Amino acid sequence: MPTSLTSLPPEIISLIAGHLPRANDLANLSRTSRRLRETIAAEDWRIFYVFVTTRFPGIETPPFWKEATRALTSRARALDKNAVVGRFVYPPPEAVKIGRQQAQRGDNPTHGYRPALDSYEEWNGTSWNERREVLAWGAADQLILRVAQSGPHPQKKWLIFNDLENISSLDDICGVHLLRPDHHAKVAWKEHVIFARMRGDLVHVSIDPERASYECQQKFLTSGQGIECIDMGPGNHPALAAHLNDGSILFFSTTSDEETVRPFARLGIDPDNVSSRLARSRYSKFLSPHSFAVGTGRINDAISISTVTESRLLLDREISAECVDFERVSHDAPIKSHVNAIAPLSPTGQVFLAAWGDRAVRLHDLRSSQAFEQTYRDTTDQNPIYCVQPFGHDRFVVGSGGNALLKIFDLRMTNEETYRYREPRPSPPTRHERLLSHMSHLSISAHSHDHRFNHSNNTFSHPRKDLSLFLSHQPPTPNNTNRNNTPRTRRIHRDHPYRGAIYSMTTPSPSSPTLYTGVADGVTRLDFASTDDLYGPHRDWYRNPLSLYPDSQIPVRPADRILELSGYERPESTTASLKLRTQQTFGAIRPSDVVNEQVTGWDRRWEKLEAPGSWRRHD
Amino acid sequence: MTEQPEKIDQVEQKAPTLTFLTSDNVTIEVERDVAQRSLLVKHLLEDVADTDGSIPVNMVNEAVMKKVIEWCRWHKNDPPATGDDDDSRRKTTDIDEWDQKFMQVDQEMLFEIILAANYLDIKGLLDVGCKTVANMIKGKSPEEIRKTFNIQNDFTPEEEDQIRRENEWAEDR
Repeated sequence: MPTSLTSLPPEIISLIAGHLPRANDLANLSRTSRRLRETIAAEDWRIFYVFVTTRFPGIETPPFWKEATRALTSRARALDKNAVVGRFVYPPPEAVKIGRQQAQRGDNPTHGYRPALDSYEEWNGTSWNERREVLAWGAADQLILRVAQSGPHPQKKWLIFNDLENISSLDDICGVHLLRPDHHAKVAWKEHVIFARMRGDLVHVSIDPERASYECQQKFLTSGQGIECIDMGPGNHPALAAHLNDGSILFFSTTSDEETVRPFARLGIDPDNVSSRLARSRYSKFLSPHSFAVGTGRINDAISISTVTESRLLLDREISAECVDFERVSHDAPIKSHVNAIAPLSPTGQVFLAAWGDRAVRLHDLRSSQAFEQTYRDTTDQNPIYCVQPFGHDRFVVGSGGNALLKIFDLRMTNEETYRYREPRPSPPTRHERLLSHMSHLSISAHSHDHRFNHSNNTFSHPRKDLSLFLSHQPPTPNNTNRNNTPRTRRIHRDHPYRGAIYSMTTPSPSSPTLYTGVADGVTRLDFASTDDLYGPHRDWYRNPLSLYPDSQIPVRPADRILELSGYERPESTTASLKLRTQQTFGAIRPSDVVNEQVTGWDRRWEKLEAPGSWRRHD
Repeated sequence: MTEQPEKIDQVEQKAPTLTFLTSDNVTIEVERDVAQRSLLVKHLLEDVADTDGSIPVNMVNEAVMKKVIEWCRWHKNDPPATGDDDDSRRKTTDIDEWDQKFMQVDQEMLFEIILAANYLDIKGLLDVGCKTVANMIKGKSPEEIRKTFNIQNDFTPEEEDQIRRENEWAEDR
């Protein structure tokens, strides 16, 4: 008998299948004959384990490989189609209050609160959708906790915690961290939250969602200084870092049994150095359990990376603003060396993203001798960057300091085997070169100029048409709060779109399609799910974990409605015009929108662009 | 590149050689360093100091063995496989031009090369072979795959319908 595909031994068929780029290729191969089906579906479709680990590197999932493939490919597809569903996250009236019922406010703040956010999810059943998602945020002086169980027995619990009697803006929560299920100190049925108030209080509280009770577990001693921000490292013995107002940073153990925890290390600022006293060091972040990065606000060591353990504190690396392709208007213009946000991209923390003061996000790799590997810039927005969040297997999201802008960037690492729903579009290279030479004189030194050219293929090789979204809806605010509740502010809320910053972001897991974003006075959630999935034959599988039921007959309160967002694809050149698009309600989708989705690649919820008028420029 | 096909028969004078005895009883002489692209051969040589006789390759016939040697000779200076399973998968799906031409053979030969590469433990060749087959599968409907590889559809209509529904989720992703 001649050798054929079906006569190959199963291990070779599996090797071949491992090179197939789409889930549909695997499905179709399994539909051809009994023998191929047996091989492909062997060991409960273990072939999808190969698929997930090859196509979605770095994304850990529980071993429901077939469902993991489905979830991850669907999210990638939604991201490629700009398919996003926006909703507010707002506690319902039945939310349980823990601690003090109502605090007395002693001041009248002019700005909304900036939510500090954290979330995680864990799988607690026998299928992908059986999981428990926990979201916590600091809503001014209060801590809001939402515990959501999805799967066959969905359930949601809301808790609002506060332990203060009299409050002012100094009691605003400026950092929140949930202990993960594998943390040494966590009790299985409780949620443990470490949070900081701007005044300088840093505490560990455990909350029992069933009994609606709380217990103050620990206090961390912060020497009376106010707190800028806090961070907790990854892993099951994470360290806690408190970034104080004076720029120094204290490190605490989170696994200590003591009620009052003293810092095990302090990262100070050099008192003799004038530039360090003037600089505003305000941001720091764990890259890995023991690697810690500080945005110092100085030029020579704009990012300073140290090893932090209980036994030593060791400076590893400094990245100077002089060595990156810093963009400024002229050579006389001062360098804004603030690094406002840092996000590790790998578990080792060797590769990370940093948002620099020139409104560019840079990819840094500590294994490399170069100061940076790649620069991501948005020419359509002049606001500083407030936060950066890796999302999906090949993207990251940036929160702008103004215009309620949330921007998605395509990382498109060199690994070509990763999953792509849509092939990258070719783009004219000449434009990039022009842009490059146009911008090169703006970089701060001849050295960085050369640098840029050496790596220009990295910087501009991929055509990017990435999405910018306006989260312009004013978040709901309670009528009974003391804050912002004058008739005037209420009117402002009703009449004016939100134009503020996106302050913070969190996603419950690397495989989650959900991104929570903190805006002034509220939290907006974005779910990356395509309309055809939400309305397709498997709609419940997609809807259940998002508790997203767009055609439900049960009326929802305004705070839970699905938002119509607007957004645009960022052009590849500075001269191209922006085409603003707006979403319509799910109910308004017509067959012509489905056609439009096939033509343009935008999810059918986005309204069709009108044909440009004769007065409009054509690009 | 043009002189490459002749290389097979022109064994350089000084290079130490080995001989293979194929399944159809043909002896093929090949340089040691080329033969050692096969980890099976490499390990064999490590265990047995002196190999005067020819190495029998019962699984592989002359035509296939010649193709395999042709591949090994072209790739003899490639960095050795690290044995890391992820190694090849992490790299590009693209097959380089020479390999693509090399793999332009009929299906039976293609599968025989894959089997030989597997048996002789030549990871690079096995990968190129599997990628070539994967490229012939991707983007095709079940019926098109059957046609391409001459596969008999042995499902009952009921089974076929059930399996179609089971895999519906994967459509367009």
